Amino acid sequence: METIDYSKLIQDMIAAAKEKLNNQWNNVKPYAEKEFKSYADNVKMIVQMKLDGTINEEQARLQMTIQKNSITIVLLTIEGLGIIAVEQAINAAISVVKDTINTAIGWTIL
Amino acid sequence: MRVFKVNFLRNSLLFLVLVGLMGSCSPIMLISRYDELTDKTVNELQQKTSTFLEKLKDEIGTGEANYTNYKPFYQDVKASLNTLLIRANAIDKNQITIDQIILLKRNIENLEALHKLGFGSLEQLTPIENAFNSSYTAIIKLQLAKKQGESK
Repeated sequence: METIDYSKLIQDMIAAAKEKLNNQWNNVKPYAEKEFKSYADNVKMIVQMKLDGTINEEQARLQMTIQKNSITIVLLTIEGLGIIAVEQAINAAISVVKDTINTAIGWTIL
Repeated sequence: MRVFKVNFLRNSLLFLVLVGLMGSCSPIMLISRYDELTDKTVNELQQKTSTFLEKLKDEIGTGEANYTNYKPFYQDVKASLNTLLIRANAIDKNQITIDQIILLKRNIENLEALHKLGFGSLEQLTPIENAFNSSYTAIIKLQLAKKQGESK
């Protein structure tokens, strides 16, 4: 059986997330790195239990599915945090335009 | 005079377009707003799952840990998740939370399947507990970020 390089697994996950998130990566970096490490640690434990024979194939499959669903929930949160950041940026820009126009006109039109 | 009229019309048009773009002045919404009931229910589910896992850890290796003794827990949690999913579906721009609830429900079903097969040792529960902690933290983190986003 081929051994798993868990450090590389974490680095590959970080690289993939970083590429998708671009500028927003720095905002979620500590949270994402912590969760990717936790995911890799859990996978490592499951692989070891299967190798030791403490769990069978069906149990290993169910355990892995739980990990996959869990990391997907984490990635969805990271996506959501990115959307919130974009939303705030757009609304901040609109607010500036609004203030500028209202001030120029002298009464609240927007 | 003619130049003045053209400029006036052009500026008026530009102004109207700008006003139109600003719409009703309500902020742009790309993701659903914070939902207190979702937050509260997810916190309750986290508490139930945590209590369940702690109890199971104490009982592992005894007959008390058998699936049949825990059937009401699974029924209760799945029913709560179904109710939560119906509410989440009724909220506009809430797809991320909907997907998270669906995945959480699937994980409860996977946990139930594992429980039916039986837990032989404490170490089997460690990755499961970690995964559920990560999942609940992630869902709550997004809800809190929505709440903080509203106050800005």
